[in-house]
Amino acid sequence: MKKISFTALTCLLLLLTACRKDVEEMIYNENYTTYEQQFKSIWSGVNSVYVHWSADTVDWDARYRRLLPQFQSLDMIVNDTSLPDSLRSIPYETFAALYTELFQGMIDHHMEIEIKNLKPAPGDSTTKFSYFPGLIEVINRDYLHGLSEMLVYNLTMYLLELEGHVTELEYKKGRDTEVIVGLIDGKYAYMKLSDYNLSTSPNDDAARTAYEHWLEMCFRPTTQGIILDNRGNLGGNSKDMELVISPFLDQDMVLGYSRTKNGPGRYDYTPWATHSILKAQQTRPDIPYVVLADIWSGSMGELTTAAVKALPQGYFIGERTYGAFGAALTIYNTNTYESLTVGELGGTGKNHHINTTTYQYKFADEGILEGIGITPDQEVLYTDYRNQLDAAINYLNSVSKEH
Amino acid sequence: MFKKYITFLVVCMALTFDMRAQDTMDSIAVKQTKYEFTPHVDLGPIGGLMWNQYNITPLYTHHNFYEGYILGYNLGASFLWQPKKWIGLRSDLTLISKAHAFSYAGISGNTVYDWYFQLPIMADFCWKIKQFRIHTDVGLFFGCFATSFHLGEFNSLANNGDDAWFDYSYLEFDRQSIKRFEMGYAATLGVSYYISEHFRILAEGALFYGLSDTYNASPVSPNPAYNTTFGFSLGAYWAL
Repeated sequence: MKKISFTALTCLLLLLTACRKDVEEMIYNENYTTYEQQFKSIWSGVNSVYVHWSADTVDWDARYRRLLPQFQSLDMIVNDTSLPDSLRSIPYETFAALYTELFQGMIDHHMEIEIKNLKPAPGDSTTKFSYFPGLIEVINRDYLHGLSEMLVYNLTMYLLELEGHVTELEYKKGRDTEVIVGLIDGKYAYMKLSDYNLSTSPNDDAARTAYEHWLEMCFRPTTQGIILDNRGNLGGNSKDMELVISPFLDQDMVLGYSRTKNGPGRYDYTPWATHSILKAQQTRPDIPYVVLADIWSGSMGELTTAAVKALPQGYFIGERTYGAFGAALTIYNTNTYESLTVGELGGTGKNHHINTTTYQYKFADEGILEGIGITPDQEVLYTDYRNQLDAAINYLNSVSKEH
Repeated sequence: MFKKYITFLVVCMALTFDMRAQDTMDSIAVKQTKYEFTPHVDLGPIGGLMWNQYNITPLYTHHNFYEGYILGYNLGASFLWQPKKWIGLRSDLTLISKAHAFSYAGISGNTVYDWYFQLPIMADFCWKIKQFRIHTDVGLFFGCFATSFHLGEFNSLANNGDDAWFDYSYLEFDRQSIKRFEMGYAATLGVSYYISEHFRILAEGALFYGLSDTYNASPVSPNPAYNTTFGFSLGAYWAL
């Protein structure tokens, strides 16, 4: 009988121990000293925490393969002892071009990137690369126009008041928010918020008081329509939804869903959590409700726009909005409202800071619109300070005649 | 360090049986009639508790993996072909869960149970003392991913923009961050008691030491993860 060599078999099995990679060699962290390490740390951090991979079309692996050799060549320049010290550095333009190529086209429209050049060239005016992929996309849209300050809207309403179209005009500056309210043509309750931070303001806040005035106007029997002006509103607190939507619901409404990551993989997502808006105790669901929004309506400025548009009596006039729906909620254990950061810039000695949202949002009717924005029921592109407001008034006039 | 102990144990066993094989060959003609052994096949259920440790180095410093052992389960059938009195070939087909826990901003109590169809193929070495049978098995295991079961809670937008904690528990059959197949070392040490000539009950400890990377990370930036699973099982064998 043939003798089985157990020793030989054992040696063969032992060879298999080489299959477990030494995991201590694979650590990437923020304590880097070279361009290659910095790039790998940033790439892997975003790879793990970015919440929009299911919708983003950026080929993150291809960019790694293409850019890694280029960052390695930066280290070769810096470490080349044959060069004079003044040339053993990387000009800002070169550094910025590489990271622009890494991040361009990413759909997270809240994303903010700051990366420090480790070996800046003498004479560089800055050592910090700053980049906002969402903003770059927005400013390349063909209907781009300037972001108007509250002053512009205030003046518009003031001029309408002088023309006799507006009464009860109020401008209030609260602790966190500025508010303009007025009654147009005696029948349309108008409100413009600088941002959505009313719910965190104290009850006796001036802006809060102006909001209460607007709400009181909305419930008057003589009021025949509502205009909520979200143009230039870049967002705020999600709790403000109940201030501008709940009083106008006839039943609770599911606006959308949100989810976050529960693992380090790109597609390790939690289930979707339902985001509902509950009807208020006192409601007026029958009143026509127009929302104005434009290219600079972002985050809560466009979430509330979507909520109004979803109402049976709602109507959106204006431009396709910014496209920033990713939410940033309380971080577990820190009890602060902030986006997840990948590293920190300056002060702590670390050399990059990337702010990205922690939650992906999906609308109940239109799905994921990150980087796309809400499209209007009636597109009216900005031409002057009042053309869009006139469109809203004309719409309400037509709806009023029908009734 | 653990790897070295396992290696030492396996080498000792191999050398021991290397010598024993020759002795047995020489004496088998004289002793066979005394023990009345006949080649046979045993078949029966096996199941028990498994504790899994997930060895991974997270690439991002805010990720926290639990480094201890998490309880899971193992259930299936065991097959043993014993052509010789002291050696046989054993294979099981079981459904085994290998768990790991992970914490991250906004989630809590997040545990993932990865269920595999597992097929250990092992050489079985045994000693029969009266009605007891002591065995140790050494070999390899092969696993095929079946599903993941997730448990945890996360913080998200709820009613009217308030944030709330949402519990979740769900199966994920198409989990993209895990590789379909796993393999590694398998070893057991246990004892059986013969209830009758053809039926015995079994208790054993088992070790499954993963050698293949189970984490399906980016192809350009591997993030290897390995399962190391200890367990305790009970079973029964019928000799066919």
